Amino acid sequence: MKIFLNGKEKIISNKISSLNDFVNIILGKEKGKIIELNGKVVKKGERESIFLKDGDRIELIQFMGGG
Amino acid sequence: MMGDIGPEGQKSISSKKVVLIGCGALGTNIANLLVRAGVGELLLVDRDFVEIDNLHRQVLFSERDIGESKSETAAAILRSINSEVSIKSLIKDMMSSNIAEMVKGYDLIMDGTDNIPARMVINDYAVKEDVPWVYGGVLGTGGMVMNITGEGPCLRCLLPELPEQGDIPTCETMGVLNTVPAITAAVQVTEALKILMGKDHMKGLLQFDIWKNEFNLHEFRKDPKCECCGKREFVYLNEDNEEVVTQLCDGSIQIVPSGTSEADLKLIAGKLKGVENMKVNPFRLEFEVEGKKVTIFKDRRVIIKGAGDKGIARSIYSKFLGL
Ligand SMILES: [Zn+2]
Repeated sequence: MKIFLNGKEKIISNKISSLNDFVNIILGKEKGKIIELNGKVVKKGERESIFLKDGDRIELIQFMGGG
Repeated sequence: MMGDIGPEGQKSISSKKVVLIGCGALGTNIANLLVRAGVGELLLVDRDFVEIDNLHRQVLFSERDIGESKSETAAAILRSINSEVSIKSLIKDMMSSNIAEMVKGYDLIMDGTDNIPARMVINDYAVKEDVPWVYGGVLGTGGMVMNITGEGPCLRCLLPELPEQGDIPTCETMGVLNTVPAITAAVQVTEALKILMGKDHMKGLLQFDIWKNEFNLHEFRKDPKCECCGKREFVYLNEDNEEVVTQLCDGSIQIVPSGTSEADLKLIAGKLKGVENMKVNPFRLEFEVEGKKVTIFKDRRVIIKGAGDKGIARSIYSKFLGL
């Protein structure tokens, strides 16, 4: 399956189906980042029930709290 | 005509009142630019006092200001920069119980804070009362800016749940390059001028890393189920939910007791036992204990540096202050 991660094309195994799998397997230590799927921010609790499909666009955003 | 401003735009800017929460690295850069741009009035709010390690990125302060109030020191410098701007200052910690009295009557809120809970209080208030605000944040070599004006998403659309402690890096673990607050503040103030003039402004979240030369505008959507701007549940304005223990940007822990009474710092100082390097003046009491630096302010706020986590900070607090 082909998705876009931060604008770059990425081929992922079809075994990865939920957004939660994607976060745990592909992102690993980047878990703390905000995840935006096709222009919508996804809450942690919703990741399990969202299934990735070809052409999905995922953006990872590091929130910045300093000032 | 520069950036579509013109005499009309300038007139509109000089008739507007802006409140800036936080006078650290972002805040001092924001204040400097806003005052030189000629806003009508600027209120500076900050609870802190200038420290030597602030000077490399907090403009407006110099070595002779160490130990002085940030908001008052900045206000004095700003008055000498542009005497046509009415500049006010408050030495206060903005929180749910006092944001309304601070911000009421202002046209725009600028974010110079250094922690997420404070921004959530601003976001709830701003969405509830329909006041625009401009979020800015920095970390390492990166920065972010977002306008929250009612048309687009709010900060809770972006951050529906607070990150867990340790989940996101802090300025303490990553540091901040001193050019980052400057560019972030410049973007925030440019957006502020557009908003004050009623012009089109940035939609979405601008994120950049000036070391890697990456600039991205994330145009994410407003979440209709957002608890803040969708359901209009303003939990951060509920004083019972007020987080009294907060980890600040530099890793220190702040404890804010409820109530509004003032502390008798001399009386507390006289009762302390087994502490080192104690200093007391009418505004604050400082001492060191167990390798941690504790500062108590007149408004009973306590900041503990080097505590590591909230639990240790709480225990020092109750052990030495019995509050
Ligand atoms: Zn929202």
